[in-house]
Amino acid sequence: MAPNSRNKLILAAAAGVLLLVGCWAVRHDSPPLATATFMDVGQGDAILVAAGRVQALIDGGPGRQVLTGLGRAMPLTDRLIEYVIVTHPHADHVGGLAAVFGRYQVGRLILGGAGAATPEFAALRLAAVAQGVPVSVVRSGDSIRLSDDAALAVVHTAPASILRTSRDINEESLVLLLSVSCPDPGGAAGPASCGQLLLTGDAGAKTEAALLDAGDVPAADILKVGHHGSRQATTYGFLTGVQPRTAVISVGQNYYGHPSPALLKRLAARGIKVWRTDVHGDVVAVFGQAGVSWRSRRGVPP
Amino acid sequence: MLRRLAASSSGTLVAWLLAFFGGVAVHAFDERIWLAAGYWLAAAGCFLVALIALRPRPVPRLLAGAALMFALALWRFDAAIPAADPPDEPVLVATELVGTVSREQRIMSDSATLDLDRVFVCDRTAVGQRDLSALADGGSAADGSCRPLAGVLRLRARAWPIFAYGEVLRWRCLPVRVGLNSGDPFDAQAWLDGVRWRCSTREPLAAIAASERSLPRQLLYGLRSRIRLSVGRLLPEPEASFLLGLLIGDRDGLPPDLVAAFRSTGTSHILAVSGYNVARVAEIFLLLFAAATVRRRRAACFSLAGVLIFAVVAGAEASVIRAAAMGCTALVATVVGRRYSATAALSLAASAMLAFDPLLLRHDVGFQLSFAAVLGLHGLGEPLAKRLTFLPEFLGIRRSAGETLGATLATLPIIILAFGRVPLLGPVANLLILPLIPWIMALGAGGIILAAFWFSVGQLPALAAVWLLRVIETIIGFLASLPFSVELQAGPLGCSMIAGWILLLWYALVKAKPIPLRRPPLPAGLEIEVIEYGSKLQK
Repeated sequence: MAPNSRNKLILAAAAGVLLLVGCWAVRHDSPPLATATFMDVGQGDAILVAAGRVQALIDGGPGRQVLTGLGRAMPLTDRLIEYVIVTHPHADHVGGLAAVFGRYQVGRLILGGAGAATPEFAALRLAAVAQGVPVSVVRSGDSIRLSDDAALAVVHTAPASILRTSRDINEESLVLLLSVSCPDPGGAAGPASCGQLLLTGDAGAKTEAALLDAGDVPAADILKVGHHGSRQATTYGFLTGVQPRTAVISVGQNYYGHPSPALLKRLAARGIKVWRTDVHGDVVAVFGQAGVSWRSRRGVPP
Repeated sequence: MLRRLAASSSGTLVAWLLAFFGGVAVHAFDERIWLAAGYWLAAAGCFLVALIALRPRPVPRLLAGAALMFALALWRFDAAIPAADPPDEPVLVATELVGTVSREQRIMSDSATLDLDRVFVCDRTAVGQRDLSALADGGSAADGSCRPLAGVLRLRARAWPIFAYGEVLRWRCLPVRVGLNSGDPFDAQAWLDGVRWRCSTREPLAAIAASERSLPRQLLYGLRSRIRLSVGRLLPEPEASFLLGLLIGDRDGLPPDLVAAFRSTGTSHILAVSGYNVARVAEIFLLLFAAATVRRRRAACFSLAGVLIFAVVAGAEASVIRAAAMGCTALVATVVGRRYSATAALSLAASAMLAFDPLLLRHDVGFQLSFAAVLGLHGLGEPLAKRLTFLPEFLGIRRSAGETLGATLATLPIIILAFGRVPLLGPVANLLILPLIPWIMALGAGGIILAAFWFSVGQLPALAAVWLLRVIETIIGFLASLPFSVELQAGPLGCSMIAGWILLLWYALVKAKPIPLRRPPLPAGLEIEVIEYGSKLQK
C-alpha cells in the first residue's frame, strides 16, 4: 500500500473512532432524578442509590464482588461515595465494605443501632478509623438528603449503641425509605412523588409487625424484600401495608432456600413484578419524571 | 548433520540442552526414583573416559556431553521426587495450629487463602491458653503436646483481617494431607508451591507474634501491595483486576463470568504474565531509551534490568521466569553483539527451569502451554504468515495472524488434554485484542508512576487504559456469547496424534523442499533469456 493512501486510511480510521466515541459520550437524554442499583453480589445485599453526583452505598455484600458492581454503576471519574450505610453488621452485608474503603473515598459512614463482634464489622470500623471517615449513628425519623429531589428517611432501627452486641441483629436492621420527588414546577400543591423505594435490610416478621402496629409502614412503589426472600419476612400484612408494584430480591446461591417458594407465591398473588439479582444480575431502578423504569444486565422478569 | 552440529559451539550447546530436556521428559513418564546418585557417578565416569580418549574429535565430544546431560537430567529428576508420604499419624480431633505466613495473602471474592510454613499442630486440651509464639522461632513444646507438620499448609479463611508476610498465626482446624495419594483432585500448582497440607476455617485467626523473614521478600511484597493499592484507587473493577493481571499476574479479583469469557475465547493467557508481556516490556523500555537517544547497547543493558525487575515484581511464576530468561538472552545477545537464536534461548530457558524443578514438565500446565506457544510462534508463525496472502500486511495483521495461528496450533494438544475444550474463535479473539495490550500496559504503568507523585495527573493515562480494557471486555463478551467452543475429550494417545500431525505440518511448511515441476522441452529454435526486472533487453 502506498504511504499516501495508508496515511489516509489511518486518518479515516482515527476520525471514525473519534466519531463513535463522541456519539457514545455525548448523550442528549435528560439525567434521571435518582437511580437505585441492586448489585449482583451473591448471597447478600449491596444497593447503590445515586442522585446527581451524590451516591449512598447501602450495605456492601459478602465480599469484593461489590467492587465490580460499583465499577459498573459509578461514573468513571467519580471516586467519592458520599455515604456508606450499614443496615446491620452481618457478614453478607458488610463483608465487602472494607474493600470499598480501600478503593474509594468515603464521605461518611452511617450505622444503625445494631452491633456485632464479627471480623468483617471490626475490619470495617478499622478501615473507617484508618481513613478518618466520620461515623454517624442514626435513629428512627432521621433523614439523609441526597439531592433537591431525593432523600433517604430512617423508618426503623434499634435504639441502641453500636458498642453492644445485639441479640437479634436481623430484627434491628435499618429500614430506609428512598423518596424521589418530581421537580416542583411552582404549583401550590407542592412537588409530586416520582417514586418511593422501601429498603428493609434483613428485617423479618417481628419488625414488620411492630411497624404495622405503630402505623409506620410507608407506601412504596418498590420494595426491597427483607432477608433475601426468607419465608420469615415480607408477610402478607406487610405487603398490604406497603402496596408495592415491584419487588427486588437480593439473593445468590445459598443453602437456606432463599427466596422461599411461599414468599414468591405471596408476591405473585398480589401481582407484584419480581426482579432477582441471582437471575437478572445487577438490577437498576431509574427514577425519572415519567415514573420508574427498569434495566438489568441479564433479561427481564416474565 | 552431527558433524555440522559439533562444529558449531552454539549447536553443541543446544544439543546438550535438548539432551537434558529429553532426560527429564523420559523420566516424567515414571515418577518413581530410579537410581538416585548412581547416574551421577556413571555419567561422570563415561564422560571423563570419552573426553580423555576422544578429546580432539568433536562428534564424540558432542555425544559424550549429550549423554552426560541426559544422565544429569535423570539424576536431577530422581532428586526432585519428594520422599514418600510418612505413614498416617493419628489425627488429633481437638487441634490448635500455629504457623507463619510465608507468602502474600490472596483475597478471593469472599474468602482468603494463606500459605503458612513452620506449622505446628497441637493438642488443644493439652496446650489450653498457653502462649505458643515460641514455636515459630524454633522452640518446641516440652511436654510433646505439639508436633511439626512438614511442608506448607494452605489455609482458607475469612477475607478479613489481612495478615502480613511473617506474622505468626494461631487458629483451629483439622489439616488434611495434599498429595498424589490424598484422594482429592490433585492440585499440581499447589504441590509445586510446596503445599502439603490444607484446611479451612470460618473461625477467626489470631496473630500472636511476628517473626523475622527475608528482607527481599518483604520489599517485593510491599512493592506489589503498593501497585495493587494504586491500581485499585485509579481504576474501577473489573478493569483494575484486569490491569493487575497484565502487569503483575494478579488475577484473584476478576469476576467469574469474565474469567469464563476469557477461557472460552482462548485468551486467558494474557492474564498471566507471559512471554508476550515480557517482550512488550522490553520493547517499551527500548523505545523509551531510543527516544532519549541512549546508545543501543546501553539501552539493551537498561532494558535487561527493566525486564528482570518486571519478572520479580510479576511474582516469578513459571511463565514469567521462562519469558524473562528468553527476553534476557535476546537482550544479552544485543549487548555482546551476537546473533539471537530463539531455539537456543528457548532451550536454555527450558533447561534452566527444569534443572530448578523437573516436576514442572509434567505437572505445570502453564509451563507446558508457555513453551508450546513460543515453539509454535517461532516455528510455525512465519511460514503460516507467508501463506495467509489474503490478509493485509497493514499494521502487521498478516504476521500477527500467522503467529497467533502457530501458537494456537502448537498449544492445541495440551489444551485438549488439560481442559477438554477448544475455543475455535481463539485466533480471531487474540488477533483483535493483542494489539491493544502493549498500550494498556504502558498507559497503566504510566498512570501508576504519575499517581505516586500527583494522583489527578495519573488518572489521565489510567482512564485511557480503562477505555481500552472495556473495549477488550466487550470484544471478549461478544465472542464468548457465540457458540464456537467445542468440547473435545482426548486421552494422551489422541493428543500425541494431534501433536504428531502438527509436527508434520511444521515439516511440510519449513523443511520439505518443493517438488520441481516437469516442464515440456522447448520447441527447437526458441530461446529464453532471463533479464533482471527493470533492465533493458539489449541484443
